[in-house]
Amino acid sequence: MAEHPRSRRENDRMGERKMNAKDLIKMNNEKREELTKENEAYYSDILLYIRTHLTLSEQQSEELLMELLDHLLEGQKEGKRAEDIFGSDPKGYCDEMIAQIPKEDRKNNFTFILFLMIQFAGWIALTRGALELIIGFFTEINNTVFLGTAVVKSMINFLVLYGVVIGIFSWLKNSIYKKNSKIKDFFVVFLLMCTAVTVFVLFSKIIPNFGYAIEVGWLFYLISGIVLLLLTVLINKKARITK
Amino acid sequence: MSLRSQLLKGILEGCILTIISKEDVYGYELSVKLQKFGLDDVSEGSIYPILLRLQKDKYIVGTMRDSPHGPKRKYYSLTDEGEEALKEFRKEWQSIQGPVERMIEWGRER
Repeated sequence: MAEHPRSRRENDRMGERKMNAKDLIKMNNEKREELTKENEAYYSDILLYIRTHLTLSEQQSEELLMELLDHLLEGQKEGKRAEDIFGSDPKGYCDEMIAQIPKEDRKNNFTFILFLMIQFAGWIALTRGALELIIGFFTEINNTVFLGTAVVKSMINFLVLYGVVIGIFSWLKNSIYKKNSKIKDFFVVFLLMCTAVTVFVLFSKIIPNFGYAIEVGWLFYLISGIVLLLLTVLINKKARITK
Repeated sequence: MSLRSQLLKGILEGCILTIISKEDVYGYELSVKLQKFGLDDVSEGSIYPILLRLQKDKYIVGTMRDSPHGPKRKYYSLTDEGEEALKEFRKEWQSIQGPVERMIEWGRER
């Protein structure tokens, strides 16, 4: 998340450097080990439930999760159970809080998706370059690429991947406080994903070749893969996406 | 939400603003203070949804800071808007408290 450079420096001087979400997650992992088994089970459900709500501000969510954990640890010292502190309806309790947590900045979301797309394309290009280099030793490869087709295919590729990820998250989100139908739900999600992938494969078979035809060899893939991945490192430095 | 629990929430909100106006506190500290005043029927966890709403309404701000003994905590402090809201709460409370007490007294006299 972008921070104002001056305020950051001021914070450093005052010994109050802002803890970003990544620091908080790390600290959370360490502190959670101090919980009793029962409290850990209760708390982990809260954690998972709030974290799988992807539209929430990550920073705000992690700060809240840390507060709840600190409170629980203090209570535990006095022999309290998580249920005594947070009540017997964790889902209702979480929903009440989730309604109040600010949403993640839209600009952040857009940058993040763009970042993922470039990274995804980078890895695909790198892998393809490496594969073609190896396979090229044994057989002749058809190097003709139709630009239009390539663009459409990668877009669909990305959309399917995006859909699969969203699907997994919403399954997780909905299954945390459900006791019975976890497995059934999983199969529904699994089937949906199989369908998505099948549709994708069929689609890519029927997309006609269009756009400029260019000859592209393994070297081009390798170089563009490396360039794209370097680009993600640069973007990350500037926008501090993964902090 | 029932009227009863809405009323209680409003009162709890006012109490929380009052404590924060005295000094910056973090969540656990706040719940200890509420209990010290005798509000121990309030389940401890219920302060967090309220703290979130007060932040959303910009009545308080939370900042992660080192605590005297131990790790960083999220301390809450009152904003100018929060100061106004607290004044409003005091006014409202005073306009209810007297009449309600008198009515209860009156109800007891048979």
